[in-house]
Amino acid sequence: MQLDELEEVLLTISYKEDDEKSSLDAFNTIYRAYSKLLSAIVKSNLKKMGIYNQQLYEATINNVFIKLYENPLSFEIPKNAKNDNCFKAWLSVVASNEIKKLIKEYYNKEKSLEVISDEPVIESEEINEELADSVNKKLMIDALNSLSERDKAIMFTLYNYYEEGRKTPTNVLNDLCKLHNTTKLNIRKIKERSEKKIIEFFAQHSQLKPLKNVK
Amino acid sequence: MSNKKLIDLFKSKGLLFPSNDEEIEEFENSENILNETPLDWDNPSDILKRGYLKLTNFNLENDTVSSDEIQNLSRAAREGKEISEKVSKKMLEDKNASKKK
Repeated sequence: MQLDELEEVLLTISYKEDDEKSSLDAFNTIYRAYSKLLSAIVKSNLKKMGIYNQQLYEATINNVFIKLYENPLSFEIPKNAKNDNCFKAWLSVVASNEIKKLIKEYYNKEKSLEVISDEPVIESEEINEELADSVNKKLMIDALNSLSERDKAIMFTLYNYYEEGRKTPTNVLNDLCKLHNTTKLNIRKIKERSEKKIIEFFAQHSQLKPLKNVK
Repeated sequence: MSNKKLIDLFKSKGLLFPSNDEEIEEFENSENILNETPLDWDNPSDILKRGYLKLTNFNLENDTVSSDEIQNLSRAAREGKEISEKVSKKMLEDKNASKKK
């Protein structure tokens, strides 16, 4: 969708109390323009995190579009935007948060998402930039496939809910423990072991000389 | 030479939830989104009639029992072989569902 069209559609939805029919038409337009992409993003990431469930998938898409209908102007087109990719990315982030919320509600957790906890921050390992630049997508997928299904799912979940400098939300860790029948300590160990394995895999299979690039 | 975070590498290749323009582009290049058939494609406004949904069932996909599996195991049961509790439960659910129709 062109940016001016997107802006027009969002504005039309926001006038739902004055003109409901136009607002519904605009909602249909935006759903048809973005629901396929959002479905693909949600489905793909739920599968990678090992938590694909049809109801979770459908509820996520459903709730994201209701949120959009209720508050269409919560998205603001950035001044430097060249196309609607910024809107697509915004939808993706809203969907990611919605998944976290739905799972938390399912486990009857308290309302605040950012529970203060004494959990140490789960940081991401760093790798040499030269090595990082030599890694293509296929090699990354091969490296991930060298992990067990459970370890891969844990890695994807931690990465999807990682925010730089912030603690991994306690509920995400708790949900991981329940889903995989393990402890927080084990989750940390799995993450450390998996990252080490991935970096070693990169070093062995990239075009660069092995070992000197391994952290 | 500086370092890069492993997570940023994963993001840049579109392997996580995309959160910026470049990651969206990477995701779109790697996935065939046209094959998707969103639930409310024919009537998007059904979403608004339905309202917010909650998760009431969190059985993961790999924990479900397929119809083919049920058929094979039904046969096994007729032949007097043992079947798991999960399959017994699913067979009972299917039986009850068919009675309601």
